[in-house]
Amino acid sequence: MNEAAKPELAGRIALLGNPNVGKTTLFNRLSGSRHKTSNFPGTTQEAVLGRITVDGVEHQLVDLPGIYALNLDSSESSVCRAVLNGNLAPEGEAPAKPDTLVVVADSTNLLRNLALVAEAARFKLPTVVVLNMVDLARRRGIHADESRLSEILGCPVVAMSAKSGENVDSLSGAIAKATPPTAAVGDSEADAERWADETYSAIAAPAPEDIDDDHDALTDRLDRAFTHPVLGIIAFAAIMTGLFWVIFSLAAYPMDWIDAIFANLGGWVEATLPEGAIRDLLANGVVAGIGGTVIFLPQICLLFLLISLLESTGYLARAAFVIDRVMRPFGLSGHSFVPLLSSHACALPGIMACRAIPDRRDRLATILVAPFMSCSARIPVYVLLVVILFPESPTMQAVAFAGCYVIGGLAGLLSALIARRSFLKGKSSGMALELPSYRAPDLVLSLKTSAERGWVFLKKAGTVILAISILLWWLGAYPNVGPAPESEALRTQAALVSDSEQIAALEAEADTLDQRYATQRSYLGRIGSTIQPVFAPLGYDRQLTIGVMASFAAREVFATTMAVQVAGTEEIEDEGVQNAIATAERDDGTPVFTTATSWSLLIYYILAMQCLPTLVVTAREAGGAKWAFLQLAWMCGTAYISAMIVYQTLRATGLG
Amino acid sequence: MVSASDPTQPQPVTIPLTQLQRGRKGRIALSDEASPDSAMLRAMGLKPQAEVRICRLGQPCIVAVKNQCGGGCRIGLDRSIADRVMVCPAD
Amino acid sequence: MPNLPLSDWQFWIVTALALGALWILIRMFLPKKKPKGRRTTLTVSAKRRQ
Repeated sequence: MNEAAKPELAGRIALLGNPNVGKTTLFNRLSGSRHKTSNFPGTTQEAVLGRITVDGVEHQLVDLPGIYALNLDSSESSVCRAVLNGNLAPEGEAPAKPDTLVVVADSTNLLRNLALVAEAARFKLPTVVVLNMVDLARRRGIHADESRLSEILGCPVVAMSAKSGENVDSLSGAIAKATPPTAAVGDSEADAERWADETYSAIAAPAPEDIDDDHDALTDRLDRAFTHPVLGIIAFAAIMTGLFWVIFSLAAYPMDWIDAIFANLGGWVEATLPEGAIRDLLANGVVAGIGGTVIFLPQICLLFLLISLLESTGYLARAAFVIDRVMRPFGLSGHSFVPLLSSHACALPGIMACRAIPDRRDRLATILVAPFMSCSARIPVYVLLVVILFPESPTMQAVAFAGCYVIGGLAGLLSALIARRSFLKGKSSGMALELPSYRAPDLVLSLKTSAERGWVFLKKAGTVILAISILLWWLGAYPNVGPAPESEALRTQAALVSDSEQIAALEAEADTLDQRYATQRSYLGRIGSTIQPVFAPLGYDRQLTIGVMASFAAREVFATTMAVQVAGTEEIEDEGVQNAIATAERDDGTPVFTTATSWSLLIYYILAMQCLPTLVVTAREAGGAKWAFLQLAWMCGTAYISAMIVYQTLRATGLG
Repeated sequence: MVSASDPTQPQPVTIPLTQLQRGRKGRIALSDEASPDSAMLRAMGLKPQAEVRICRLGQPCIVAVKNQCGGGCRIGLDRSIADRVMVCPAD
Repeated sequence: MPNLPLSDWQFWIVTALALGALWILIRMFLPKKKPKGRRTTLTVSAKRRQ
């Protein structure tokens, strides 16, 4: 592409501003749902592209990363400078200077924001300054004269509230009249500060000393409570518990519908298409593969919705300091909190959230250990195993279930510590974080963020999981083998009997035997038999080995894989099938799920890296396939050794 | 550490932020330190002559930057960083 | 290959799809071919300032 913008887009408008000024809210208001998230090539910064109509003509809108100043060394600052100089553009776009620059300022914090305005003015681009949050400012008695600012700057200034919509309409008119600022803002950092001071005095209405006292007093009390060493942790634990409780309980509804939809879809495919390999592939490979991904969407979207809501209240900034204290001994910082929390839904968006971590080694360490956080896909496996381990005691089941999360979290933190003491050596600097004012949660913004993250998950994880599902299906379907030798005898028996119930029972048993035989003789089964000796010290037989291997496609596939091998069906909701799995036998007649084996499996699933989509994202975000290999080797290594120790110990002590 | 333009004036006392008591105010002093941290802190609002009030001491140290006509921002600092920010106590 | 239904046309279709899936997976781990177009003056860790 050689033009500066697509043929139908008249120009590029860039949005610049401090973090927390409501730039994204404004962007969403202007662009609506027409937006696309990509990357600034060569950086870890996200680029958000949208559209805005000015004078009836559509322009491209680019949301730049929030920065405190343009002259800083940070990645965000460099990206903004490069874009304003015309040297950088979002992936797929041709670099060119923006046709208009919109600087968004916070009316309740004008002094600092004016310094950024000064720096932006130096680029001499047609500029519009937006004084956002004017409703908040008014409520607090803060007044600024935007026409005076416009005179001083020499370009349009618009006061608005992006959140309530007040005066947002006048922005496009202002953009049409945008001109390069004529103000003399000097060259240096000190010059910008001085200009900001003088301009601020000229445009801000004098206010009484105690103007902010009420606002401050309340904020003070909340801050002290939320960062208190004891109270802060209690509040944090309560909020996090509430968060997870909501996610687990609410997400169950849409998850059930999705389950039903895909089961029906599979059934429809089976009923509609003629018998044959294609029908099998579609019903069992494709539908199951897509369904297996989509079913996690509710938990992922819900988690991001809640995190976004919490963040918009301002609480998370305070919580970051609380969690920072816990993370420091392990070589991480409070910045790692949201990525690691997100990884409890799915490591994929969690690892992408690591872009926000400023320290490079911190970021790498977090990316590497994020998959240790127990993700949604592990839940079906945990549930299956804790029920097998504690069939009579729901309390012990719950304890074991929670314990899985704790073990995963600890393993992650310890691994981070080891990384930070060895190949990622170096002290990370302390946190300096702006604490935004407490506000009511922004539902609209949070819904948009949640939808965005969900879509990214679907696209990235979806393609990989679908591809692996198709491959696994093929390996499990071929080569064709005849019926199992024993089933022949059963069918002959059925032909000789007259009782229809008995016939049905014999036929069902014959079918199951055929399925098991087919799976055993398929390429997948043969691979399983070949690899099985590797897992023998952990107590896994051929069937479990296949289950573990198939889990590399998607962890949750373990349950259905076992069901297919053991009971010849995928209906894992059926109690009969669950029973069949629990009492399944190995080829030699002994039970598959002995206590020792079950614990060993549980530990393995907590710690192992079994997610190809995550490996791909690690390679990309960490900057090299070697990091993905390291992650794979470390996690599978610890999983293998731990599972082996658990199995052998339980066996040796007679407890398993 | 304030670069006084008039050498006959006594140098104002500057102390680290962490030595100010809670609720007290001060003005940020120009520091000679040119660490990567200090450029960021300055950009966040902790620039020379900025008026700050201590909201919380300890870990983290929370200060409120006050603009003279109302408004401002609030910054949370790790104690190790707050130790290196110098202020002139105001009273 | 024994027991592969080579005469079944459906077999060839699903095998082609499976190979396609394999290719998609392999491609993800191949080194990324950077489009050797623009060099930006953007540097992140070096001190070059604009």
